[in-house]
Amino acid sequence: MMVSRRRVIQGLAVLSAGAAGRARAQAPDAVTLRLNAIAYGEHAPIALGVQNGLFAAERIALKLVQGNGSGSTVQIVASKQDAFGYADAGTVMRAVARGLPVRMVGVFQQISPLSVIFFADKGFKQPKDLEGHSIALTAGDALHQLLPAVFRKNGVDQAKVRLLFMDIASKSTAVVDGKADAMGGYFTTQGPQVAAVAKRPTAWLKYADFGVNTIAGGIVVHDDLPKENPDLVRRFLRAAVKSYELAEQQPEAAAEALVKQFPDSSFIAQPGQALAQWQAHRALMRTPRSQGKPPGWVAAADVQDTINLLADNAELSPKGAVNDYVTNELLPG
Amino acid sequence: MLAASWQPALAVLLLLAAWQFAVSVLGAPAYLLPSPFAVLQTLTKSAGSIARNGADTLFVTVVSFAAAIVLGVGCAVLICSFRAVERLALPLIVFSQVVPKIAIAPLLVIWLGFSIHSRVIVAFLICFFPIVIGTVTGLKSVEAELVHLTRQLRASRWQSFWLVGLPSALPQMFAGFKVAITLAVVGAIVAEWVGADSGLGYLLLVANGNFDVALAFSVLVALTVGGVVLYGAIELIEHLVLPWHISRRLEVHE
Repeated sequence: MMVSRRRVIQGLAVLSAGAAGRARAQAPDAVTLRLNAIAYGEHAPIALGVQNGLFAAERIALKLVQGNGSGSTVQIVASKQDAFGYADAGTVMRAVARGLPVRMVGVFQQISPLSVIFFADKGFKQPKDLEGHSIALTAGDALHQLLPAVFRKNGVDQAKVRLLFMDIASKSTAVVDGKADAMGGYFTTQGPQVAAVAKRPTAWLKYADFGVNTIAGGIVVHDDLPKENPDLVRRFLRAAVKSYELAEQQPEAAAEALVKQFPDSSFIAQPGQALAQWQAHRALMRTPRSQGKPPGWVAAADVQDTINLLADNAELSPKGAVNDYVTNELLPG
Repeated sequence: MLAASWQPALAVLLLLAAWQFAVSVLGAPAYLLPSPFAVLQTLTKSAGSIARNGADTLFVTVVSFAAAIVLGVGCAVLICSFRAVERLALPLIVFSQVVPKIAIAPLLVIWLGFSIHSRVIVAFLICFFPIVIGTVTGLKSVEAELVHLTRQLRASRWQSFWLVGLPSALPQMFAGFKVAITLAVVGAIVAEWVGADSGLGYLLLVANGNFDVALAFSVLVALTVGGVVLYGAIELIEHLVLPWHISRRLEVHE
């Protein structure tokens, strides 16, 4: 991490060295992108972009680093240890409201994958059906914080739903084991995973389908980076947008690139897993408000909706303008 | 006596001063390190919630520690009384200790269910070991001549244990208890971390999820104070039970 940071600084120095440095500025900027977790299908486009040289074409030597939750990724980016982060927008926005010097510069997932997942034979068709059943959750995460909003908007009596708290890895086990009737999770990853482990079909209720959508995965940077080196951010985003466009057209190639670069990731260890995950995430790239726009561009109204939702449910005290949280300005125009 | 009380206070004051210095002079940002003042504010504002959750954590800590004393001392007495038990049980107890509890705690919660019992058992497993080892060491280091003497005076096995073995093992046992009570607090937090909807460990998770560093520090302050008080309580009991022990005598002579 220290090496990459030093290289970023070197890169910045070279860029600002004027005419003499201009020839040397052609040397690529070595930067890291800290993912939000260990690698899974959601990251396939970036892996494809790296493999196909889209970042190299923008003079960026990009290294993908696996992460340990969006929260920790945001803190790492805030402390400038990694130049770029891939994190959940809701997490970034709560961090911004707490005064962390970060912002989103491209939102590549605009429909939330948050869901309540269960075996299909449970037959839950709407949130109301969850009354009288138990849901496995991890305390304090977005799935936990936003579930009451789903309940409120859909007339669910929360007192009739039993919430069981456990760590992330245990939720799937609890459902497979029958200790919980359902779990909070990403339908894109955990839905198929639980089905594969138990060899029983799963189904899910998406928060987004029941009135609770938050914009989700995207690129986060330190506030200083667009000021000090807007060119680097623009080049990075140009390559990222191209990567997503390519991955939309060639999902198989994207999944392959991901598996090749992260052969050890347990989230994509099964054949076909990475592709199925990316196919699911591919459908989450745009809301009705961003149809026809390039990947990464997000409507201010969608950002505002997310701010309002987090303010009502997740102890976010809004401050500043939409642009302080998320900006489209650095995306290719 | 006076010296004994102002020195720890000075240490705490120095720590607070260094803390405030880091925030206001070195400019540590509030999302990394809140100022002591901000923590104090949060502590007063969230006092109710911290007290409510703290009560749960305290319950788990105390119950698991009590269970660890009863079962740990019991195990140790059996180990020291019967060689067969020592050969059978001690390796198992050591195995149970080297397995990282934080790694199996999530599984334990699933096996044992999502009630407060599983929290007690996780905390118990974490604080049980030093009690067994302390007691075994204590019982084994009883002077053999003394035991022989009691036997020659026709004391029963039980009388010999009660009058000679146990008292001379107590200092080692209390050393184990003191380590165990701090581990019981850690154990309760670990248990709340992997499966709870209340307690200071749960509150810490929620605070971290919200980037609420001031609340996280307030919880840590409450935990530290609670841990120190519990440790102090064990030390007080030790002084009452062991007025004759060398560590106590030294202090009297000072």
